[in-house]
Amino acid sequence: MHAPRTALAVTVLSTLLTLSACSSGGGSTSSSPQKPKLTTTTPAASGALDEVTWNLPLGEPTTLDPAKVGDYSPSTVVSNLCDPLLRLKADYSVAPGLATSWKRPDPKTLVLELRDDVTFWNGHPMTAKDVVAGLERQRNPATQSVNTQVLSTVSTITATGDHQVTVRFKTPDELFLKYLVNGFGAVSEAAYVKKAGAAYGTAKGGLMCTGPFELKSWKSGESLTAVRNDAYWDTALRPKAAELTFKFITDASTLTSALLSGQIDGSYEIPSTVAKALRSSDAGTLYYGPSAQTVFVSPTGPDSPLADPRITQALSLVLDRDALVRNVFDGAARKEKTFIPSLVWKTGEASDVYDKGYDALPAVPDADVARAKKLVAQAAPKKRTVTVAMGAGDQQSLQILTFLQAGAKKIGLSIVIKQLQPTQMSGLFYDASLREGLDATMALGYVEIPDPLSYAEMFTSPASPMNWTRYDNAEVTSLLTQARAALDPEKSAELFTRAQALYTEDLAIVPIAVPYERMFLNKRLSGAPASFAYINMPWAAQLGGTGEGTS
Amino acid sequence: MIGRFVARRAAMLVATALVASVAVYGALFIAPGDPATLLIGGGKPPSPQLLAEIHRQYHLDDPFLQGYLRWLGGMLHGDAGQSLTYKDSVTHLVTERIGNTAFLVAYAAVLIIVPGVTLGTVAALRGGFGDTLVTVVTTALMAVPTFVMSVVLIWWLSVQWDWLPAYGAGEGFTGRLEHLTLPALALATAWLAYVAQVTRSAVRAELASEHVETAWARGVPERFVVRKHVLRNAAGPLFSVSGVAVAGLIAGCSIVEQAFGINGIGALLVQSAAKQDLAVVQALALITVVVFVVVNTLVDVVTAALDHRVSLEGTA
Repeated sequence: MHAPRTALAVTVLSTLLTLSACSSGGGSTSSSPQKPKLTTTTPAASGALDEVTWNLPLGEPTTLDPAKVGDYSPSTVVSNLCDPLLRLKADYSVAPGLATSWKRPDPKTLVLELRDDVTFWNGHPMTAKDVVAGLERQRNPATQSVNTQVLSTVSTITATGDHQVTVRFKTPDELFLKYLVNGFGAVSEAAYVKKAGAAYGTAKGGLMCTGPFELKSWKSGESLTAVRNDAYWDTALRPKAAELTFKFITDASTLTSALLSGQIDGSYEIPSTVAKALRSSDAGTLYYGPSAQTVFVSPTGPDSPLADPRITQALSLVLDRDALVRNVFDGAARKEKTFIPSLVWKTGEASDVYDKGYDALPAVPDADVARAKKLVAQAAPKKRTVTVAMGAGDQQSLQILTFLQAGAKKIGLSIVIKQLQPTQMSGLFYDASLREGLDATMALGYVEIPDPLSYAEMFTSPASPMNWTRYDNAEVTSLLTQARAALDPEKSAELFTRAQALYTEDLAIVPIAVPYERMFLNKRLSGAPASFAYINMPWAAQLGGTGEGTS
Repeated sequence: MIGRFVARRAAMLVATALVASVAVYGALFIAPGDPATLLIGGGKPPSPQLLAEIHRQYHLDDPFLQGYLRWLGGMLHGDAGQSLTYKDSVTHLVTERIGNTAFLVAYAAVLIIVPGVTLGTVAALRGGFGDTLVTVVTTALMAVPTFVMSVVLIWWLSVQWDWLPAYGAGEGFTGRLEHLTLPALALATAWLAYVAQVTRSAVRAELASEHVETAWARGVPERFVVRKHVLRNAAGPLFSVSGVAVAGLIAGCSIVEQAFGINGIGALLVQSAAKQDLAVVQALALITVVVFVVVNTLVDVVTAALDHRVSLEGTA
């Protein structure tokens, strides 16, 4: 039977459409911006808007339950619906949210004072009981909270007043407070959550929070709609848009057309291929913001040739990062000295200490083939073929690995790129059996809290499930443990930078680049933050009209 | 006779569906990867306990037979199961989307059959330059894969000219008609060419047959010869190929729905297969099998009714 070649095409579909997107917008003729202008915010908006249609390029959220939210799409939505106790600002600094202030009477006690004028969407007042129930709920494994490990240092959480919550710790923990900026610290109405049970945060179970937008409907596969909360407690952030609809276009080519034709008003996380088409468009503006995202290549096991830091250093020496940033990221990335993006500490309380620590690190090396060859000769790896995993169809990863491949060839290493299906790719981060046959993987991640500590611990702590090479530097572990227990920001920062200086020397990892946030806004609207901090802040509350364009 | 034929087809359908369900279940079972890990995502340090909890709640660690029998038992009780990624019942997921897909397939079928048959007939009857043109154009179109057609149509009619929306399914009849025109065109093109070519050769064959030549020779009016002798006898192969085309559209939907961001079961299938969402993939595979068999059965019955020389006994 002569059926047209439809079924087979599915697998190559995304790849080809992504490629064709370059030429579909007419913007491919303009040259790449060598240094895009970074901005944390966009011009403040003046006018009201009836409706805004926003896209989630990483697809439909699986849940909106703040306790289970840990990825781009759900966080982008939930941050507008559910207020956390602390608020992340566009520059990645921390400000009061539902908690007005906090103090530590002793190192093992944290007292949070809550606002007393906040109501949930249904008009019920928010009290300390809701906060306690929300945190306790995340301790129960049956909840499937993604934040359980944040509570590992906590002994009790109690309501010590109608609007006061006291947290007691087994050991002092400076990270706990910082985790309150995201879904972990988001407050839902306890009675509602109890009634909804496991369905809380789904299309069926709904949500009950205090945020500037209220969840109105969720048509699975189609759209998710939120309406303005006219009684929002923070009058400065009462939304200018009456209705906010999220669409789930993951296909780069479709997204390009939808943004160019004005059917979609805007989107965060614009892929490079789409950015090329949008850059020169008069439909709106493509903004570049600082980001806490990071791209690196990490060895997947102790037997990998890359588990030897001399080999990862050698690869770093032959990787042409300038060309890579220009070609793969369309200029929208920068090279940094470590795999933890500087934005996470840049504006924090002890930023000068972190800054000094960062300055003292060795510079990102320029290409030096001779030195790289020497390092490889010293390491004398048993295997010279390195299999690196990446998500199938991800153009950015494929291009990065192609650059790495070219560099590795110069020092006698051959890189085999292995494209994995989504469940295989995400699975390898958790399951050792899925890492068999691999030597390294592309890693794309972000640091969602304004502190580099948790990310460093993830790769260096012998107990961490992400420490695949069995890295074990007792001094690093001890310094990081102390840094976590140090409640004075300067001291914690100081201990962290000392650990950082050590693991930068001997931790096998190839930092690739720190990509910028890319957001597109139709010319009829403005006001949303351009920084990656959007992921944990009520960004849509700042969206408003410019008076330009009507599409 | 027709009763026995349908009964035999129904039994075959059940057997095919069972084999397909074992195959799909088995394929997803041995595919490497852990669907639960997709639920955790991005910015969080991994937690093995959380993963174990998801595995427990969704029975992801069950052995093959136990898992399959659990699913089959649910199916027999009318419960298609729960989606792992959508956290919703499969029945609900499918019923919400099937309207869009049915509309798209029906629309594309009309776009294939009406112009396909017309063009093919005209080309065969008129011959000459028209014939060459139809043959060249349809052969070229047949070579254009659906996903390329999708991109071309979006770029041309949506972005450049802003005539039709670039994505989405729309609401209500007119909304859908507007939104699904481009996807239906993209879906129809390759098949349209195919139907046109088959029509052309079927009509050509009839034109050269003895009874048509006899009719010409006897001076029967052209209109009458074409309608009674040519088209009627060419209808058999036309109908078969149109049936195959419609069944093929159901498979082709996945690509077009993804490209145009249409919330239909084709897009659902692609997304669920990538996420190893077993219950959803199973249900959609079964629906496809059932529709395919039913369409083919209908085609056989109608072909037999059109041409009494075709026996239903032989086609089963």
